[in-house]
Amino acid sequence: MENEKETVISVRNLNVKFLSHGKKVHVIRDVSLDVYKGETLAIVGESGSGKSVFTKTFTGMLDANGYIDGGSVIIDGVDVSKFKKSKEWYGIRGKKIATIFQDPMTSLNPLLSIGYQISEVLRIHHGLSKKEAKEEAIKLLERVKIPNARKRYDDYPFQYSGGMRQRVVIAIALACRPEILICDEPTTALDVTVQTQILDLIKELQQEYNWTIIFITHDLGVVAKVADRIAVMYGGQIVEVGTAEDVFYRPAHPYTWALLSSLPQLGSKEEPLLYIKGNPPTFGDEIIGDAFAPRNEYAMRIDYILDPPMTKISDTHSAKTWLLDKNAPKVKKPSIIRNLRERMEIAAKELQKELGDYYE
Amino acid sequence: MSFYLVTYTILFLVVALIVFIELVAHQVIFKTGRMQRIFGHPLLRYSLRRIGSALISVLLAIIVTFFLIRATVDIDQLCLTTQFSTAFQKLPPAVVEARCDIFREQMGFNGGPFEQLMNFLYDIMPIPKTLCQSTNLLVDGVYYNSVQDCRFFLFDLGQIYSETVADLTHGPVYVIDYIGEKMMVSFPVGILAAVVQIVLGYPLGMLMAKRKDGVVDKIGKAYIISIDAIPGVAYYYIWMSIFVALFALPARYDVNNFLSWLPPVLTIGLTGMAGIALWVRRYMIDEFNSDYVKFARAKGLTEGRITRIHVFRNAIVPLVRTIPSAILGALLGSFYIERIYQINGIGDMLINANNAHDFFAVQGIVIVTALISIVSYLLGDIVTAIADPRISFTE
Repeated sequence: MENEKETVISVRNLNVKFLSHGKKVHVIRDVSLDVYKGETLAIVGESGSGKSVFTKTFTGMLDANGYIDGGSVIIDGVDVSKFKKSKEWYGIRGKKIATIFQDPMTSLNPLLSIGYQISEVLRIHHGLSKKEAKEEAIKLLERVKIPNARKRYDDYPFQYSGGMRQRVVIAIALACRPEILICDEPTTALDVTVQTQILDLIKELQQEYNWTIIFITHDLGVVAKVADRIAVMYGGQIVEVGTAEDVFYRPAHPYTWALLSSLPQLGSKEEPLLYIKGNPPTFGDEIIGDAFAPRNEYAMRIDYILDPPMTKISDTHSAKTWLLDKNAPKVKKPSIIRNLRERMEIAAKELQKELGDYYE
Repeated sequence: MSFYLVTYTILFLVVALIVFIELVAHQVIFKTGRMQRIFGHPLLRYSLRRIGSALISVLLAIIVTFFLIRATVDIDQLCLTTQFSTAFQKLPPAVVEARCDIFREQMGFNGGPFEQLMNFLYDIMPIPKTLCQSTNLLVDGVYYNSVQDCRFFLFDLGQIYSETVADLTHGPVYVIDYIGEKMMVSFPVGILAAVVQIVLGYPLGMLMAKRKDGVVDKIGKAYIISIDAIPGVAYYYIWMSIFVALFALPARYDVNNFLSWLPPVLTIGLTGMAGIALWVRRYMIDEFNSDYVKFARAKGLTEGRITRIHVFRNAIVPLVRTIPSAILGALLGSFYIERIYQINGIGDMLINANNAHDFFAVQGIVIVTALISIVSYLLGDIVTAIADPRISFTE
């Protein structure tokens, strides 16, 4: 099945380092990943796991002190990790890959009208005239369900609410007509009901335009709603990757277990809420062996010495843990993981009931 | 007579325009359509209100100046020192008294304080009036009023009585005329200096921000810090010695010799440029780090476009308010620079008037300065409001 899919982004052994106060900090450590056409790939992980930095390498938007130190990012047969000048990126940014950022409140230029900020893209990327661009922009605003789009074309961002601004940001992404959309925590800054609307809108547009979506989030609820495939990141590495089914129902990495166990929605009222003890590694710490080992209750001695290899579990599913080694002892997964499907069903029912109450 | 007609017509039109704008703004007339869009625009009404409150501020400043001057000037002493050539003690007291009565009236010191204030306000209000002044004529050690000089005034700020301020041998010199004349001396140098500051300062700040920590930024920072660290008077003289000693430019300003314009213009321009570049750089770096610039980059805009349309435009919003005051401030010149390069402008006049205790001249300059700074603030606010859509004109 995997072979039939067309790969749009192919990352191999990517390393990203940052220069901070004269010290080199290794932020992305030897990551490989394929993104397939038309899929929704969710990249999950805690703050600081490197998920944003990782996707920034696709569009060359690393901060000024960050640089790629080995590895390749191949988009359309071109290794973009070798790009040096901002000019080289113009064919990718906006044209091929559009990005939606976390905070719609600050993503728009406060001093330019909404209309200008959309039509600007249309004029530059697609060579429309001012008038054509305006008509097209109004259509896009209507497409993302801005009421009174024609009238609100000349309004400024401060006259829009947070949810509306994120719709405008999506309209701008639409105006780019990209193949790939990177959503960098697009709903984190929004309240729950607006979150759902925005996610629905993104899904709807994905079907219409056949987008490939890379979704960066730390919200597993959002992941469950949108993702076809999930990559779990920890300490600058992808520790587990697989289809949503694989990762949610057959998780193989102790970090994924811990993440899922600590979801409040899946806990029952009788048990205390679980959390992952300790702190994620801060960049600058030298990591020997498995980055998760100090917080891992299943850690073995080898975890502190050697970095585990990425082990294939099935065609779609791999995890980076010594537990999958043939010499590893069999371990019992945490209880929540063992009956995850039932718990999820209960949680879904409860959520539906709550939402029902909310809408009544 | 025609002066009166013209002035009253203009005053009437101004009042009519204000009433008209208020009526349109309240939608009494022209409820919709083009007239409503133009004359009902909140910016117009906002400006009117601001002008109204600004005029009140000017009036208060003028009244304060009026009392301060009355508190510090001894009119009788002033009469004795200015109206009699030498030995006024030898004259009969009645003659001295009679002469000083006339002088008092001429200077607006007759009557009680309230009456004086009212007369003064009448003089400076934009009400058309004909005022007569007399020239002093020296006869036997006493100045007599001889030639009557009547003329039309819209504003009257009194006349200059000290010979060190103005040449009084060809008839009376009115403060309002004299300030106008001096402004025309200060303005060309001032406005050129303002243009040099802006034309050099903004691009320098922009370049420094764009390549932060690059070569231009490093040189620029060194320049800004040195301008900041050296006291003003010191670097004015440093500039002067550079221009005069190194480039052999004239050290004395002469309106007909363009080369002699360069030292004062460049001294102000190159100094003021540092401050502008500092702020442009700072605000632009702030904007470069903002999320919407990252999003603009993600939209696929070129770096040049991002810098021009997104970053520069946003960065200068806090700075545009200084542009009207830079331009209008050029009317007043720079006191230091006018002293150093011997430009006989407003700065020079103020120093002379102050030394000679010519209070009408001082008062006149204070009033004009207050007016100019209040108008520049008003224009600065309006320009900022136009540049930033988040500022609303309605309350």
